[in-house]
Amino acid sequence: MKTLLIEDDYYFGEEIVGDLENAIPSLKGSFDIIRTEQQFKERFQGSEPLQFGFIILDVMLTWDNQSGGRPPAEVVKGGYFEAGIRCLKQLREHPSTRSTPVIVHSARDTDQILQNILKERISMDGVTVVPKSGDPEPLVSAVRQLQTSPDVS
Amino acid sequence: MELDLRAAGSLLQPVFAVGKSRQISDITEVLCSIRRLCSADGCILWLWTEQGTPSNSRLFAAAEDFEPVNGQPAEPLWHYLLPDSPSTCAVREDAPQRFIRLPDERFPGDPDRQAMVRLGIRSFCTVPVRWPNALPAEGALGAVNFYRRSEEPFSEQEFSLAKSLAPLVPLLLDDLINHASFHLLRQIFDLLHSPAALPNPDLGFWTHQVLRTLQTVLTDVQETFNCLECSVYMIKRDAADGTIHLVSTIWPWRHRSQPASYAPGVGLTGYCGSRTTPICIFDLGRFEEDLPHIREKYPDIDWSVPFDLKVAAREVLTKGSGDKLPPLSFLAAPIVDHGRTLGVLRCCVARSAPYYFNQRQLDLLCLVAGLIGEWCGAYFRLRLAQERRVWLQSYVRTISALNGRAHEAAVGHKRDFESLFPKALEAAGNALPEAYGLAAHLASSDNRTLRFAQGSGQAWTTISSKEIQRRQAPVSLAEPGSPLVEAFSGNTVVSTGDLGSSNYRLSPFPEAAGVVVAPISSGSRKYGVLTIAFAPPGTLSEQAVTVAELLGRQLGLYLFLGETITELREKKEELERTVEVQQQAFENLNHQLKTPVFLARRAARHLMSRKNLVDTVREIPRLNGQLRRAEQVVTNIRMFYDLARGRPIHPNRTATRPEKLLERLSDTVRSHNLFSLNPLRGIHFTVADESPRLDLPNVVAWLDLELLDQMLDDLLDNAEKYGDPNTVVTVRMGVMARGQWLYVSVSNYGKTVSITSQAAKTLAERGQRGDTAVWRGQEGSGIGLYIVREILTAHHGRLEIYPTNEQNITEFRLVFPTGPPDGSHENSAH
Repeated sequence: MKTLLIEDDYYFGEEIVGDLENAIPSLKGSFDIIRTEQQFKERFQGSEPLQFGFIILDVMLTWDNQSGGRPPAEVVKGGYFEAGIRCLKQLREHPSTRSTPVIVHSARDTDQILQNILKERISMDGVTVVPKSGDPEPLVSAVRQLQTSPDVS
Repeated sequence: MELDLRAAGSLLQPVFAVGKSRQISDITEVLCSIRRLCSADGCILWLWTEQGTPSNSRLFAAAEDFEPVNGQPAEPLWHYLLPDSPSTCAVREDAPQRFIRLPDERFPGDPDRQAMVRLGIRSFCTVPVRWPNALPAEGALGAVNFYRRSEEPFSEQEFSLAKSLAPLVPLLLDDLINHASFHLLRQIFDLLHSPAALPNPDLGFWTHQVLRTLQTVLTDVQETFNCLECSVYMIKRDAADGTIHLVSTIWPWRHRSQPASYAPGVGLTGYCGSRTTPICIFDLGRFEEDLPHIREKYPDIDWSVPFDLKVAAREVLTKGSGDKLPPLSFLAAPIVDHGRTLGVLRCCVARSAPYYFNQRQLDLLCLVAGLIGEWCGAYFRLRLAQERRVWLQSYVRTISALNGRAHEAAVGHKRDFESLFPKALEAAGNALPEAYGLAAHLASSDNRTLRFAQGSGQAWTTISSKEIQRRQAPVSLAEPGSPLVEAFSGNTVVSTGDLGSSNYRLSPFPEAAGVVVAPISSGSRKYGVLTIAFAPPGTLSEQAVTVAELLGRQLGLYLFLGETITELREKKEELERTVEVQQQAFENLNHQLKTPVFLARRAARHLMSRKNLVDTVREIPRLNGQLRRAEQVVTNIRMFYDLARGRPIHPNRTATRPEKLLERLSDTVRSHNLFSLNPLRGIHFTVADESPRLDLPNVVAWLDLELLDQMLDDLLDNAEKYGDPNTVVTVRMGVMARGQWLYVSVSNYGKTVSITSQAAKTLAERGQRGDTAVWRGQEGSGIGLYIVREILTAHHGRLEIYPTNEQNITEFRLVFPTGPPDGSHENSAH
């Protein structure tokens, strides 16, 4: 089963993949990385099956690093601060990922993230918020917990 | 001659009759009684006419009584005596005369004799009489003549009795007039003061009830004076030209319609109304003869009224073969209330004795007119007060509604409170119906003129559009004598009711007779003036001053409110912008700082866990890169913090030659190549080849190299973030203005993120980010370029931003002055 990592910082992405592959060898080679909100939108635009064991989602995401074009109005208005929340909403609306566990992994304040999720009326079922830090352990623990959960196959 | 008891009783009869009488015409009864006592067939009271010059004076029959012939009333006698008639001579000489037989040879040319012969009169006697209390020098006012048809002339005794009784006639006539006058006034007073006669202001004045009351008054006047016609004319309330209109009349003429109105000065009635002058004409039948005298007494009468009273009177008054008319007297009294003419009460032609109206009747008519004026005036004042109350209530309601709108506008943060002016002025106009025109002027921003803002009232509807445009011209605040300027400058209400007498012509109402100008202000803040003009003189009221003052304050408050809301809104928006920018900047910096710190900690962890040297060495640039990122953010935060608190940047400058600078640039570029923000983007940094070939070896720039690194890091990070993937960012060094300026530029290639020339002007403002940068949803605090600009300013240099050109190249240029700085404390050149 693939693991989806949505992280715009190249180095943090590398760190997360390295840490998790080292700690949980079964995840080795399973990471599918999305680096911008636009990539995410393109990926989840259709209703084709997208099966992931779990998803790690950063909150502050850039829209596009590759091509031009004006982003949708909500992106212009909300900016990159709420990009992860928009992605989470879409994940919960997509038939393939409606119940996929999501670890929200961000340097932003946890309370602020929870408030924004609630504001968007997104279900918290299967959502875990793990703050980013210099210590990889919290994220590793959260993933391990998912691994032991019967819902994650 | 001695009177017997029967005769004495008969003598008292007329006296008693006078005591009971309410009509002046009862003088005929007196004549009848006296005639019978003197055994005469007829008796006439002849009086001097009161009109015309003495030479034009003549005796006229004021009252008469004749014994009927064969049961039929005698035909009327002649109405005037000729100047050379025996009676006229007797009156002039103030000597009683007895004419034994007619014709009397002593008066062969007496033309009246023929009339007497025709009536069968054979003898008569004449007794000159005076008014009671008249002085002997005043002479006789007329005569009482006794006539007899029988052959037997008046005996000496009868003549003596006639001489004794004749003086009673004017005495009793005087009493009759007094008595009838008192009775009439009492009757009209009671009528007009009865509850039923009080008009109801709610129903309007000219109701059926009011007209009926007036008709009763006219009937009372007619009965007392026994006049043929009696009418009331009134000025219409809203008519400004003073024309009076018929409202009630007793009109005897069958075939002629009465004039429905009189313009001021036209005819006797119009003259009376416009001049407020009582008029008494003794005999309009002798109008042509008496015209010089009438003109002298009532100058400038317009005689264009076609109505011929003489012809009309003949229809009613003449009987049988008689074609002569009694005096056609005319009276007109102005109906006045508190000095203001409301109309005219007039009556004309006495149809019974005494056949004339004189000053005494006119005085009485004036008193009646006075009672009518008081009655109408009381009603008009009551109605005016009620209307004013209604107007004021309406004004207050409208202003209250305007305040509601102002409140809504305030809540909705609207600024255009001037849009409330039209309704406000309209409300004031409704509260002051006598106002001719209203205007609001507002001061120009340079306080040199008052510009027209809004107008209302009839003054604006009765002039051409060209005239409106002319009147809407600004009023100079240097205009001498202008009440507008005085009110604005002094922030005080200015009112005058006497503009008409001066040569000054008010702008924008040059025809105004009075004006109130109130400042439109709030406290000491002056915005303009409100002008309320009045055209007819005397219409400026205290109420107008109050309304103007209140409305001026009201409009001032609106403008103040609008001004305050604008200021508050701008401040709020600025505050919101600042707060939002600061929040975003904080979020950005927080994120930008946390990420490299976390990654540095992880790198350090990895470093410590590496077992071999190769792995360790490979980790070091990554650790260094993250630390550099963190340091860059921290430095930016510190500088931003200092600048926000007004602490300027103090560069530690050293003299730097181009070669040294080039080395520094190369180091920075190398560092960025070793550790880019996102290696996946494939951005490569380079120093332009031509940079070392500077042919100005003497150029020295005084720079803080640490701050230069800071600026370059910011520019290179931006170039990496916004440049297209797999492109080259070029750092270039050069000189400008023959070596006066040294610059370092950073150019990146990017189709997707371009900077317009407009954006280039503001990009270095605090919190500004380019539109496309925002679209790209890139992180960024918007303070990097701001700090770069401030660092350059501290170096007396500048940041030049060249918008994206046709080759999709965007260039940021750091420009420094060359040569030694002002201070002498700098370090020596490297």
